[in-house]
Amino acid sequence: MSTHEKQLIAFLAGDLDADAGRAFDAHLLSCESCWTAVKADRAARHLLEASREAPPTGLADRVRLAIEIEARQPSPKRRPRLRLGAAATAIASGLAAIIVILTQTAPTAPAAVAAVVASAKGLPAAAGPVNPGTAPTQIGSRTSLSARGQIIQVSYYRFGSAEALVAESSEQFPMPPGSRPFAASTSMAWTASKSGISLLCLNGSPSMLLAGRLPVTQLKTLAARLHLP
Amino acid sequence: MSERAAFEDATMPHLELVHRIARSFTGDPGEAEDLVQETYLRAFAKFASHRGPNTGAWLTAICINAARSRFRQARRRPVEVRGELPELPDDQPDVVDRVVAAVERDALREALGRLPEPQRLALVLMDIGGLSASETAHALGCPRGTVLARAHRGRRALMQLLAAQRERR
Repeated sequence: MSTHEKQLIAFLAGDLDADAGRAFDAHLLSCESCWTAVKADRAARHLLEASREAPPTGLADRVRLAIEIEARQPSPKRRPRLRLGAAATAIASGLAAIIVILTQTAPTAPAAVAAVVASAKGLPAAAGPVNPGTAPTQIGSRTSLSARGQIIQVSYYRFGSAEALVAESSEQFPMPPGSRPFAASTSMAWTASKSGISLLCLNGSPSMLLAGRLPVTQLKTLAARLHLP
Repeated sequence: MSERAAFEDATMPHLELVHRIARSFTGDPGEAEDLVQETYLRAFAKFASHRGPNTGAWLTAICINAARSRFRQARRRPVEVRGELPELPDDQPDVVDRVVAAVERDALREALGRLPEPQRLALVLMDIGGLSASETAHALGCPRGTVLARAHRGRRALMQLLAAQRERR
């Protein structure tokens, strides 16, 4: 770094003493190069400061909730890491259920599947059959959670009178006990029913797991309407 | 006071700072929120070993590491500028004013993402985060003078990139 640049940087940082500052001020009047550098520095700082965004409403609650859940875990070895997504406040009540399920049903249901089932428990049951021509509508924000290290993105859909969720992961959803393989063309697809929640899994890249309080046949229709593989 | 309460007392006043830092790493607001949450969970796990009053700089360093992990996994690191950038012309003193008037948030984010990481981090922490040069030096583990030099060069390079963007339109 040249002495000239050092002095310029010290001037901009307010590090020059009064005499040196006055001398540099005088220098700026005659040096176009330094004056351009000073203007660019101040303009960039102004632009960056003006680009600051306020945290979204609910972020503090979401962070506090995540910490509270983390603090409840007695031992790091038993800690199923859960990350709340953007609609964390809306699924706060479901999270407690996820923890309970992860710790209580893990021996029989894979953690990722148990977490998805817990997330689907708050969904309303279908009032009746869904017309196959009905267009699904995404509701709420996409959320993310992690079950035993498997990252899962969850989107919610309204489908006629029913609601369902679509969980997506780069890892496969293991087949829980009692599940049934289906669709001979895709050996990694299975269906199951757990705690009143129907499940339709389409393992692949990525893997998708649909869940809701509606018949599996309607989950298949939803998968088709969403053009899932 | 419980560990959680002590942690929240120490760290929640810095939520806005952490969010600003996280937001500078991604154009996706939801992803930025995920990064904030991951930062706080990482910090909570390390809180027992945190000493000293500079909690903002400590959280900032954790946020940067979390962002690096995420973007390494996703292979979405910003494209850095290679080679020399044209200098701002000395004989057109109003070029800076014209660039400032025309710049948009997305253009600014794109230009910032093209800076070399040391310069980008200095600007993110100081100008977007609002940390002082000393706090930035603490977070980045380098001398204050180095931070000031990176920030100045980064700001000049940023304006050159924005001017070049404007020329292309």
